[in-house]
Amino acid sequence: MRNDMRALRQAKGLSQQDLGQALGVSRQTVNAIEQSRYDPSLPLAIRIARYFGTTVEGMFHVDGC
Amino acid sequence: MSTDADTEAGGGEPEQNERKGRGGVPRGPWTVPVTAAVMGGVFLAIYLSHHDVGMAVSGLVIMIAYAAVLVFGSRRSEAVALLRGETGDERRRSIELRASALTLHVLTLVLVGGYLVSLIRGHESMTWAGLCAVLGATYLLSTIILTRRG
Repeated sequence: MRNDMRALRQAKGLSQQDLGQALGVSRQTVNAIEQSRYDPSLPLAIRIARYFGTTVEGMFHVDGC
Repeated sequence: MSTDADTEAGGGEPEQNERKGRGGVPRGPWTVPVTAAVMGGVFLAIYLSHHDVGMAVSGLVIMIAYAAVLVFGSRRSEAVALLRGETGDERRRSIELRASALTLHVLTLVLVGGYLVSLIRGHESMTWAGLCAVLGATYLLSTIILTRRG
């Protein structure tokens, strides 16, 4: 599932490590989500969206939608 | 075996440092390495009691080496960190769960295959049958319990 996490993180000037610490996940998990290799659970997706001040739908894009 | 995450992002500590392993059993970062080292001592004692010094030393060295790889490699490789028991977030727990399921499938094939081969050859098959029974009963019970828990 595509997402805007990398762009939003870079816009905030955060490293993957920083974001991982803020979200309570590992740096590798942040990397995997950014590269669309891992789809987060709903609670984590909501946490990510809230952290960046957006919604889950605004952050994650199902292909074709 | 290394994953893409290893090569692209390197290893490191999970930020959310949970202390629960598989099945909710508390598991710190030293549980697996210490267990491996203790098992090396157990192998040493057992083989020495059978007067097999070579296997005794080999068993101890292999298990100590494995523990050392876990301790020193877990910061560099996420796969090693997982082997050490550092399942700090949902993705790592998912990886551990899928690896466990794959292991179960392979073990099922090996046990059922071993049982059938022992039957065909007319060898003693009760050990294989017992292991298959434990496997089947565990899967059955865990499925019932987990479906009731939701």
